[in-house]
Amino acid sequence: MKFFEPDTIDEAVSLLNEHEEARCISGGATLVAMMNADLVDMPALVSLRRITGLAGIAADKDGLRIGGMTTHNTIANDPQLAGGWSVLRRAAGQIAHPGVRTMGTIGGSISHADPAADYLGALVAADARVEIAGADGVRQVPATDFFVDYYTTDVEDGELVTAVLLPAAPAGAVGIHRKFARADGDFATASISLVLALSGDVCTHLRIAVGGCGATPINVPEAEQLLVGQPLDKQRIAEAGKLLSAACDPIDDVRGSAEYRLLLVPRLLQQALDMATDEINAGAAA
Amino acid sequence: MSTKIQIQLQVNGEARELLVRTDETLLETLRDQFQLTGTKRGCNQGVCGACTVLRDGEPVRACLSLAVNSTDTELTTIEGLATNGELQPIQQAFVAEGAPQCGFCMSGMVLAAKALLDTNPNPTIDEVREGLSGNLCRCTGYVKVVDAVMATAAGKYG
Amino acid sequence: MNAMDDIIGSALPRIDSNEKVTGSAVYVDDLYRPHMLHAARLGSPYAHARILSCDVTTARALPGVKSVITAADLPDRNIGVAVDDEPILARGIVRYVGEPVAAVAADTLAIAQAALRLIEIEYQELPAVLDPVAALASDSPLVHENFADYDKRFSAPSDGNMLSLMEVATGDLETGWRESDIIIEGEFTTPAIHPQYIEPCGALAEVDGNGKVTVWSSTQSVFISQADVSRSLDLPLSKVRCIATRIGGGFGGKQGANEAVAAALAIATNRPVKLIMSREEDMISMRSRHAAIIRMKTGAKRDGTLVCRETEVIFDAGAYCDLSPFVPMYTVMMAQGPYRIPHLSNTARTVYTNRLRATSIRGFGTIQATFAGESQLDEIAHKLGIDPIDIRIKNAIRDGDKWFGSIPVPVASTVPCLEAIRNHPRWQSRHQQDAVKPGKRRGFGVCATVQRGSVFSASAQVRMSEDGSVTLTTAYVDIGSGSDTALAQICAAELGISIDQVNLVTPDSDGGVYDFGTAADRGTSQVGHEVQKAALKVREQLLEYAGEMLECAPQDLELRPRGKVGIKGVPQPELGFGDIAARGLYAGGGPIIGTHSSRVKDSPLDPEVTRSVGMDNVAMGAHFEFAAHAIEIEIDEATGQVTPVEGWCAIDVGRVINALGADGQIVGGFVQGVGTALLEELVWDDGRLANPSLMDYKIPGILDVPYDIHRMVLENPEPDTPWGARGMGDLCINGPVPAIANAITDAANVRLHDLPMTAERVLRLLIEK
Repeated sequence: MKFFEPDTIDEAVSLLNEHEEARCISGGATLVAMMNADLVDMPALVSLRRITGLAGIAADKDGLRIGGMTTHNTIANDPQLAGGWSVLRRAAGQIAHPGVRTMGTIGGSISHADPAADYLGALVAADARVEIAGADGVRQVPATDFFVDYYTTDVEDGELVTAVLLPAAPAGAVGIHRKFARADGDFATASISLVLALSGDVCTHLRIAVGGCGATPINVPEAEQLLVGQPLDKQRIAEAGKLLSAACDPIDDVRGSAEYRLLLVPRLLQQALDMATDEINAGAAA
Repeated sequence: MSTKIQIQLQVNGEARELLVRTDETLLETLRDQFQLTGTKRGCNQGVCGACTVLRDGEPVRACLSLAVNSTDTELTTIEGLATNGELQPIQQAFVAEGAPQCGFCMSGMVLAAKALLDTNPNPTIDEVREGLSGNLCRCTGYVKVVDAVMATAAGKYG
Repeated sequence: MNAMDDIIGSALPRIDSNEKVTGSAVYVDDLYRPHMLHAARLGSPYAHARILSCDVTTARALPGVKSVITAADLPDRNIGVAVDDEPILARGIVRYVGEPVAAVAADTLAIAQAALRLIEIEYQELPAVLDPVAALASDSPLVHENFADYDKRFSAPSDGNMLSLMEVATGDLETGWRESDIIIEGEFTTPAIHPQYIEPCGALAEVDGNGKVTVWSSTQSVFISQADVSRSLDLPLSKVRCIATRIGGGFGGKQGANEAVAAALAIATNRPVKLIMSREEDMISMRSRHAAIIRMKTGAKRDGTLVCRETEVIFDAGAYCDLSPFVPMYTVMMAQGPYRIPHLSNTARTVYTNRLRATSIRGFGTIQATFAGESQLDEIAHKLGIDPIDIRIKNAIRDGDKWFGSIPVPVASTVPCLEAIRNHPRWQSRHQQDAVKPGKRRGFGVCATVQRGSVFSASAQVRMSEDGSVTLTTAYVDIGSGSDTALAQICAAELGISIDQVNLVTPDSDGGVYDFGTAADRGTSQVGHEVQKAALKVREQLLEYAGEMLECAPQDLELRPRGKVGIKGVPQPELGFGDIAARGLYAGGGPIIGTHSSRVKDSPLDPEVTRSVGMDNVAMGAHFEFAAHAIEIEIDEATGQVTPVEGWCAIDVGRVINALGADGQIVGGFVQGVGTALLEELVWDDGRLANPSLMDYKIPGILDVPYDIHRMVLENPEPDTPWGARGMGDLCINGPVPAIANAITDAANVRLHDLPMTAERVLRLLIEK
């Protein structure tokens, strides 16, 4: 297996285009695990480690830019990821274990697109866009279009993820990542990621994504529309939960049956909204 | 057959240069090339934490790190803690508080504890538990490990 | 007693602690031998199939490969402790997915694994039987068609796929049901689980110039491993040596760890061969705990007095017997729990299936039945409006009672254990906590458990050196319990020397003593007993030789602390142990060596009172162990997730030998029990293991269990063990399982009958209500 350490994104892109079936390695948390299990065997590996500017979190006029090589640990501890953006911070902090969060990166994780992984729903709830670099230049894809299928993204051969871009969240919004797992550090059986803003007790902004219940994160605008523009109430939340469940297509696996996942969705939604509301009210009181 | 690449890195304070396969994990390099067998292979999937080492001070899974991706880093393995046979306080605490049982998880556990105390010298019990949450142990039930870390933080062992 | 016993009960750090915190402990994968090769095994893709042909030519030709073997290269011999039903590489038939069919030794592991992919095997798939109930049907495919040809070394009846039938009964069930005011009936299931020692199994074998094989192995028994190699390769035992390395956990899953395959390759290549399981391979092909279906019926009087209990268990033994027969033996002895119940019938059928072999994993036959029994007792208590601790105390067995009417129980600690929990300040104040958060429910559960310890044979040797230190040999393997330290303490205490003066020998089949292996809580009580007796012989010889040197009778002499002998009542002269031993070698009666060996005296069952099948009218083991557990849990009503919040463990150890060791066992067992209760299950998909990784099979991490686990260690001594000490390794794991089940019922008024008690199962019951 050949190994390359390009210094720039352009070099990396060239290498990916030059070597058929070459793969990128960022943190390696996922890829090396797959190598160890003989699940993957590539002729060439392109390390992104030396490329400056690929890691780091910086605010710009459009919002926040998170470099693809930023580790989960960095994201989990960055105070810039406040308000609505904390959905991402909280998702990052629940990934696996401390010794993995120091290595794993957001670019690597979303490129792998395991539906049970934590970032996927968080990106959708945060209305994130994913920046992809290729031979033809740089393009941006909304999170909802980035995740295409099980372990499949919009990234083509010869391209790589360079950043996750977050638009400004509404003022006073909070972000919650309510993950249900069998044990600490496990992949989600199901998760609800959401960004909520209230004005008084009226919901002014709500984005919800369900994780672990289908090939990609599930987002149902009708469910959000049911709740935006009025005070949150349990009945309407339950209806929104039903709409979300109906859009889910979960599998049976060792983490839970499909039926259980569908049961969980509206319940996790209620819990996530309770957590968000409590946080907003606590902030207002403080 | 995998290509080999020359890398350089620091291991327990010593500069090392060597040839590694491109698909060689840090765990393999440490155990097979350096004969530093204190770092253990429990699952080779990054779940159990028995392979924990410190890379530039941060706990990482050696089984999930490629050696080629660790070039120009500073590694601390369990062998790098004691100097001239004298145990560091965290090690003394583990011994005196009765933490090790079968011992297989202990290399990773001690290093995770050290990394925690290096960044947070006065943790709460909850913070200790959080910091050790990536190290699985099947023998101890974890309580004495927490006690050992808290005792170290309290200065009981120097 | 002249033994100086202030070392007993102390909180001495383990004698091997330093190596474990410095990374210098040597486990089998840490060993390197010159010219060593690496081995890999090929597993069967089918649960049941005939091997039609096997072509290894391409594999053999791969550069770097030094040997490829199949059963065709080995003698036609099987291994097995209880029945020799198992080939080390499948011969003609494969009986579970993952069963090793071929093995390769090569320069590197990567080459060995590549060679596996080049082995061409043609199979004819056969109908597989994947559950024990189906396996009991008369038309079921047979897992072992030639069972009748095997050398079966236990007497319980076998029939078809039923490997063993064991029964114990006393009293009369019909009378019992008639006398009961309330009868509860139920069926419980427990899945197969994996011991999940953090160190996977492994072995390193080499052959010397005289044809003697040495194997280093992560094994719980150097003699079982030695026998495996000898038997499977048709080598005399005198040509096989097995040495235990440091072991990274065993929990009953490492009685033999693939030494024979490593040895076969070492012989074939004439080079050292290392064979280490990956986590996945270990989960697929080593050992599990028996899955069980427990049908239980309990009758009681209105005042809570237990009258009658009928238990029928079906155990899934998997494809090979291993130590299976011993597991149900414990079940039928103890399914009734630590209670006085006049009418009892316990039956266990252990059944072959085409799944992974099951064996004596921690919780040795009792964890499954305890889940059922302690759940049903709570059901009765609830129906009668009696407090769960009260009903247990009311029915608890007492000192001097006879188990099953046959076996005297000198010390029965159920009552003091339960009272210890009841009197614990945190238990007393448990309802005075902060109010439960909305959406959560809080519950408390208790249980009382019993286990049995000691089995088969043990021996020990103590040799005094010229400097007064001793070398202690037992061959008992410390798998993490701290037995090395405890045994060294017992030896040191008997002689009044410091533990630093005890040189504990690595378990080695060449070592001169014999031990069955680490199992059945036998370390402190049984092996410790041999150590004590051997040390006493050393004491006798010291006094005899000293008597010659001081010219007086041995009975006028005494041992003094720190290795001295003197005349009673006379401060000087004193002789040092070293001087006495040295003189012995050159001018006296010879080396000072004390040896003792014995087999445990199993307890006879009086056939007049205790009817049994398959037990030879004997209850294996020498003494009972008692414990009580309690737990507080919290249920998330939205998800059904059960979180253990606080625990109480009351264990009667008879006498603490090492305080840190005892404490560690109690907490460790508790956490493992939580794993069995809430998380663990080997999941098969049509015969293939669906979750062979720690990613998919979860064991408790630190955040899955509480820090607040209260330990109450009771010391009511057993009459005939060192200082009255009893074992506890198996005992500590059983309690959390029914305690959690009972706590869930307390919190949410639903009862689970199936393990693990996942959030999904709890939520379904909550919704149904």
